[in-house]
Amino acid sequence: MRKKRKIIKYVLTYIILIALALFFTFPFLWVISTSFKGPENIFTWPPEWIPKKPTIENYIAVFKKIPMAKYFLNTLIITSLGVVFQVIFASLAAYPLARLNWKGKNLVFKLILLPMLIPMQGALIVNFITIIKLGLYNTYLGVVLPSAVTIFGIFLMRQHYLSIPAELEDAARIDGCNEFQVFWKISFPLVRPATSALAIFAFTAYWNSFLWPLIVLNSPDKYPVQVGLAQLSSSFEPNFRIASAAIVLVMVPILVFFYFTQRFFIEGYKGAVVK
Amino acid sequence: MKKLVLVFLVVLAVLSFSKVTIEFWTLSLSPTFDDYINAIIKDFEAQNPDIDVKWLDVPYGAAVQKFTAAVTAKQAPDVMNLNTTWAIDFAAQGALLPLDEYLTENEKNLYWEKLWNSTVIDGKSYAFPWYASIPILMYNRDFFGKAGLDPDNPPKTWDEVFKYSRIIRANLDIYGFEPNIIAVDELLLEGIPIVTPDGKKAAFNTPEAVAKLEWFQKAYRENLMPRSLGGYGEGRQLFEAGKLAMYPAGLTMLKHIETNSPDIYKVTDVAAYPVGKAGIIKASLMNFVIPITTKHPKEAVKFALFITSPKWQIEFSKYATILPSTKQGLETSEEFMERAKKGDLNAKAMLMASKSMEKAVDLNAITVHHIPSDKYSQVRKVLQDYWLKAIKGEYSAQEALDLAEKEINEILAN
Amino acid sequence: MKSRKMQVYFIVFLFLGIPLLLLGIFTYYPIIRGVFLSFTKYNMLLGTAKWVGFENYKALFKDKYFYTALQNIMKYLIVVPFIQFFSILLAILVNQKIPGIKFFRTLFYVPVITGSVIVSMAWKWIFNVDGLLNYTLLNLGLIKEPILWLTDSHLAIYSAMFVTFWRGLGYYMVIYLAGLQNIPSDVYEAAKIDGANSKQILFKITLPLLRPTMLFCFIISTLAALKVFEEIYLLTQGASGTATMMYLIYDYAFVRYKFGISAAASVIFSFILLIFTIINFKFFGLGGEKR
Repeated sequence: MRKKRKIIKYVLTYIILIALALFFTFPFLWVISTSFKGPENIFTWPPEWIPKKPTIENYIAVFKKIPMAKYFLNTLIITSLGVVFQVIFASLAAYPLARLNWKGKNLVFKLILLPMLIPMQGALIVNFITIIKLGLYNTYLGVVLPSAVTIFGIFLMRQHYLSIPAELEDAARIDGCNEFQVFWKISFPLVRPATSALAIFAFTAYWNSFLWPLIVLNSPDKYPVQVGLAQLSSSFEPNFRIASAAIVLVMVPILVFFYFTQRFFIEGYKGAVVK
Repeated sequence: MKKLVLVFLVVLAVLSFSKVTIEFWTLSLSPTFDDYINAIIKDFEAQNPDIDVKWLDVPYGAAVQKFTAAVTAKQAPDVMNLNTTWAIDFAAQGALLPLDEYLTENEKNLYWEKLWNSTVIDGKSYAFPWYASIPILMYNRDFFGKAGLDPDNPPKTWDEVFKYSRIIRANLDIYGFEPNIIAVDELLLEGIPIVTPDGKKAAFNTPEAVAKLEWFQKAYRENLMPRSLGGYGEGRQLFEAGKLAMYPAGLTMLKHIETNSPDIYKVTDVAAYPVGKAGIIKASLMNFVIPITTKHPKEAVKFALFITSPKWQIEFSKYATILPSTKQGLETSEEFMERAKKGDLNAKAMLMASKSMEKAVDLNAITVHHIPSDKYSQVRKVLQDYWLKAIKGEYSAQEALDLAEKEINEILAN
Repeated sequence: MKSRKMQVYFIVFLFLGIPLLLLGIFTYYPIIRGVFLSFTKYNMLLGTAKWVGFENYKALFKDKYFYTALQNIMKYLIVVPFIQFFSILLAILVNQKIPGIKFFRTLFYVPVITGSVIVSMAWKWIFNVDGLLNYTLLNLGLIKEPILWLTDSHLAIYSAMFVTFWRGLGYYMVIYLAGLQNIPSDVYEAAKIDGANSKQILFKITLPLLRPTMLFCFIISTLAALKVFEEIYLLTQGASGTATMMYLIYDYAFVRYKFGISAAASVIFSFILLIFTIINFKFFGLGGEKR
């Protein structure tokens, strides 16, 4: 009797999970389906989910029409740079805010959080002028620098640093470590879940960036993949199958990435929030 | 001494061959027209060895932001592709170079007057008209036949469109047509002025305007057009899904249908866009402007003239369903005449549209609507709001126009 | 001891120096400049600014759409409790160690990373007058006439909210999952031994223990709701009475080229966001900084 109940519960759970999965992914499913369609109508009603004659020609076309491989490389460069910057700066900045005692610590932290409340529409152009004055026009550094320090990153790291038992650090100090060594040998390694989580958040954010790189970059061969997507979805590119293939190509890496690293996402949030 | 002379000669040589590099941006033309644009660049550079041309293509949706940022930061190109509204907006902000001192009358005369005048503000010209799209009427011959209408006799006026739609709804129970409703345009196409010539008071609240609005209300009530009022985008999807009989839209949509719904394309035919009382057709015009920040105005002008020349615009028409803005148009192209004869629907549509280019007007032009540029988007928005609400039945036609008039007079008075 | 204190200050300057510098240049400077510009008539393209005092603010207070935008963001707050409640349920659902659960979590996360083009196409296709939703409701006999989800000025904003809801669930689910996993399992076991049923466990154990997480999520959810832009921009372009504050700010800047007024709207909006953050803190009690 108990077992039957369990089986029913099991089956019910999976039915709900599948139903929800469909709810959340239906647009993506349509895109995947379209990306494999040959010369058949794609805007039919009711929509046809299974291609009549599946083909991979659209995927090949993506790489032929635009330098998609180069765009992927560019995105990778921008993303890697961004991730490295964000992790380094947030890890460094949050440490004194969490683990050291000094005058003005709380004030500085509150000031850092403040801009979260401020809508940043106008910042785009002001930052562009600053980037140009710094001589970073049309560079990857120019793309990454304005977002190299994020408030969310500092917040996340600080919350994790707060959970380090003070005894460990004190023990190190007693053992004769100077402050730098305390940071490098004790505190920083202990927040690895946070640095991993931050790296992942940064990765997803940079992967999808579109407008800012477009404004800073002046050479089309430096464009990231999202711009490539826009190029394939313009009104002069009526073949939506190719655009669909491109969309799949751009979304799949990030989904795969999420699947394998979700544990770190979760660990990251754990330390941030439950304090 | 000899060294000095040598240096002097080298410097002289370098200076006399110093190249000017100009940069131009286009909107969403890459990768589709890479070959075409590169051919233009190659030809121009060959004819002008002292000018190097650099090309950047920008996605349409982000163009305003990128261009604004560029002009602000003084990194703008020398030649910029913009649509008429944006060209006028930027000209009104003082960001564009007035062109008259760089051009002769003959050069201006290459283009259709109405199109050139779209971007003339206070007597100064600000843009070179480039490719244009004018709407045509696409219709499904199959549906006509099945509803008892003659597929070789498409509607010529909006009243006929209405009549045909009724028949289609009655016999096939699908939508007759899908308009792309822009209130200001609907009024202008019927010859109804929006404001008084001095731009100070509303002038659209006339019996003719009421009649036109009531025409839309009837079409809505009888479900002859989709009640979601989704415009071109929705119309294309419905037409391609076989749920719409008549699709009045820009030429470019034809290619879309051809690519995405080949079955529907087989039974599609084209007719001239129905004309309202003003006898004009709405043109969607792309232009080239020259930002005021340019360091090489003469070279920029030269290039703009080159890329918008009749020869190259006609060439463009071979790649895309667009029309040249020059008086010398597609009828002078043997290739097009041949293709149309052979039954190429695209070519047929383009030749047909080409004949209407004389009537083509870009309704976004201040010389057409007379609304002061800094009030333009507000006036448009107010009219659009009330127009659509009336169509949906929230107001009567007269009520909506009265309310719009009141609000717009306030806006214009400030 | 003295030298250690010096070491501490050295670290403070070294570690915070560059980050604060970058924040200063790219975050604070635009904000301060924005406040300054809100008092000017600013032609961004030419870089000319003319001092006009409070004129921009007055213009906003006279603008009908300003009030519509304010109303709309208040309305949009309705989405917050819905997203939070369902995200918690979702997190509980995916917290089970059953085969394939990681895969399902990934699928639930898809809307979070789906690009704007697809989101707008898909949801327009659903909400259109002859879209999937009306088609289904009509066929099931639940409605007699199609409903204008995106063009009816009373409904449109709620349709946009639903899309926000759809996009946000996966995002908060992950955060709540973290919160749930922080609850030690013995707490549940003790409760089960005491004979508690699922509902009691949910309301008396899980939710209270999730409070810090909820504070965090409610704050960012509130801010996100008030700052909503994308869904409006994609689905209705601010038509049918759906303009929100962020859309208004964008519209004044890049459609009407009135950058000074746009800046003024940003300033006013910041105050509103500050007030709501304070409210959230008061409601959930101060969390996070008692160390």
